[in-house]
Amino acid sequence: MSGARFFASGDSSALRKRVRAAGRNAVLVDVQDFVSYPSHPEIATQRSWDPRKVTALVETWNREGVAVFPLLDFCTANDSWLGVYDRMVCSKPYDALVKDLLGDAYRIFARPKYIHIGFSNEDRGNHPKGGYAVMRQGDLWMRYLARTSEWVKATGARTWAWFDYPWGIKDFLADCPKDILYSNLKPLSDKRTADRFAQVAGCGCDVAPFIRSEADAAVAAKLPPVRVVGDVKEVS
Amino acid sequence: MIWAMMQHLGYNMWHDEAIWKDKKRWKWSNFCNDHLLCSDRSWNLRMKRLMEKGSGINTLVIDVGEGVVYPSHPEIAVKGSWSAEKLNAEVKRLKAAGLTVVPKLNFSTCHDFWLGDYARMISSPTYYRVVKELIDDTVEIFDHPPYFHIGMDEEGYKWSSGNAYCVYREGDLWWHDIAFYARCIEKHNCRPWMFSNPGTRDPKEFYARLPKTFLHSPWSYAEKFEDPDAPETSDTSRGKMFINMAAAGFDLVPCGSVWCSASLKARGLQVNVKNYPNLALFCKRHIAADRLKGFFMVPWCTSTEGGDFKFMAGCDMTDVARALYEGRNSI
Repeated sequence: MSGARFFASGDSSALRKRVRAAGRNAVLVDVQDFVSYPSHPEIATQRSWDPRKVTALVETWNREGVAVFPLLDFCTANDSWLGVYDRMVCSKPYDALVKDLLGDAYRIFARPKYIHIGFSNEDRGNHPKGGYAVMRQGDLWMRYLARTSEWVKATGARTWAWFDYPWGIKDFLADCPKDILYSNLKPLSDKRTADRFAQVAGCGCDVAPFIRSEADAAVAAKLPPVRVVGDVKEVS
Repeated sequence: MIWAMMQHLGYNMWHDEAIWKDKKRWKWSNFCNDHLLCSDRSWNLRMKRLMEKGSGINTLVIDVGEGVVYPSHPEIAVKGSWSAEKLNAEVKRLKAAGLTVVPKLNFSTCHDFWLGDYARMISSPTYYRVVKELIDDTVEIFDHPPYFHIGMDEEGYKWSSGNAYCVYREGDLWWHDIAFYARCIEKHNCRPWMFSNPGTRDPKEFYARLPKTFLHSPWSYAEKFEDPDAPETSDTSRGKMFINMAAAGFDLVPCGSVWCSASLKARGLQVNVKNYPNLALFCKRHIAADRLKGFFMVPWCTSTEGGDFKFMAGCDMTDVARALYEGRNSI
């Protein structure tokens, strides 16, 4: 797999050309509220696409040999797209919502192999100051990583997540679900990120390094090849 | 003049889940329970003390939390929560004995675990609806009290960083929600009351935006209160806070305690006997009588037999503080 990450706001045909020209065979779509979810139309905004339009587009890409994977970022620092639910994290309605949205995404994206759930740094530094802030910490964060992954698996897809775990998760390797595909969000040229990412790959997890520079590529080349199922690049 | 004492009915106000369950990795345990901690025996003993002839206490603030089955939201109750009828009957009994009985629902995100699932819906439409309904219920249960305490102490990352679920409001949202609570309370012709230390907020902005319609309880558990003109120390800064708030036009009910800090415990003390009397004398000396509406003793103890000693000490210290404030030689 070699993917391209983009936000679903550009010209799709032009983007398709760029993706193919870059030699990519998959795209990762940061969906947010760009689609009107059938189970929760209350999340939709004026910019939301009809889900049938998205499915038609995904099928076009698939026919041309490019897989399309949805990214639904459930990191609390990046989940304002959830509308009122971004202030209900870890409540019963929130849990029901996440399950529903993952099911919707699986259907809209024509049964994708992967669903990316985000889960990058969920700590104080990544929350805007001066308003509402919520973050899951420690066991609770880890439990929600595993729980959200189970919900993804229930759809039929495999979970893909950022591995950039937050401050305080000292035993990520011991506790993290091993069947998740992990990618780095922070650059691998950052030594701490590179060291941690190598540990993740070394402990039996599949990884897809996100490469944004030659320095990132150099680090990625040293990862245990048996665990590298692909890589991610940004297509501009 | 208010001479208030606080009593917990509910107790799910701290840590519903520590960051790590493994105690080797994390020092705090979970404080929340699926059953009411308040024992009937302790409750009756304490109420008897409050209703004694000659008691210096004339106001009881009941921190209700999960302690009652709210008619609009019975799902918040835990095993053993009182029925609304039982609490209403108790309020009537206490009022008949001459006490003013004031409800307290702490809405600080650091102390609102009693809200159950709704503590994870802060500032959402559901949250605002539930809070309004709980306040309506509580006003009815307390027979339309003159005051309604909303807590609001210790909200911020500093205080919630030890919780697995860390949530807090800052800036305009915090002020919006303060105004929201006030509207819900004031429509019942009831005066909101809150803890009023700025905490990590900018003091200038805090005092500029704090509503004067509230009754305010800044708190200090210091043993002594130095002359405000003395060199700046933690004691003088708290004292100055009281003075500045009164000078700015806030109605104050300064809050003290018998609670012991780590340094007092290190000296072998179980009860801080100096704070409340010294707080009363300091405020008498430095705060204009028309701004000083009373004093508030919060013993910070459980509502079980283990907490009786501190509660009784809080009552005793109120008697002492009131006698000193009123210039009496005996209590």
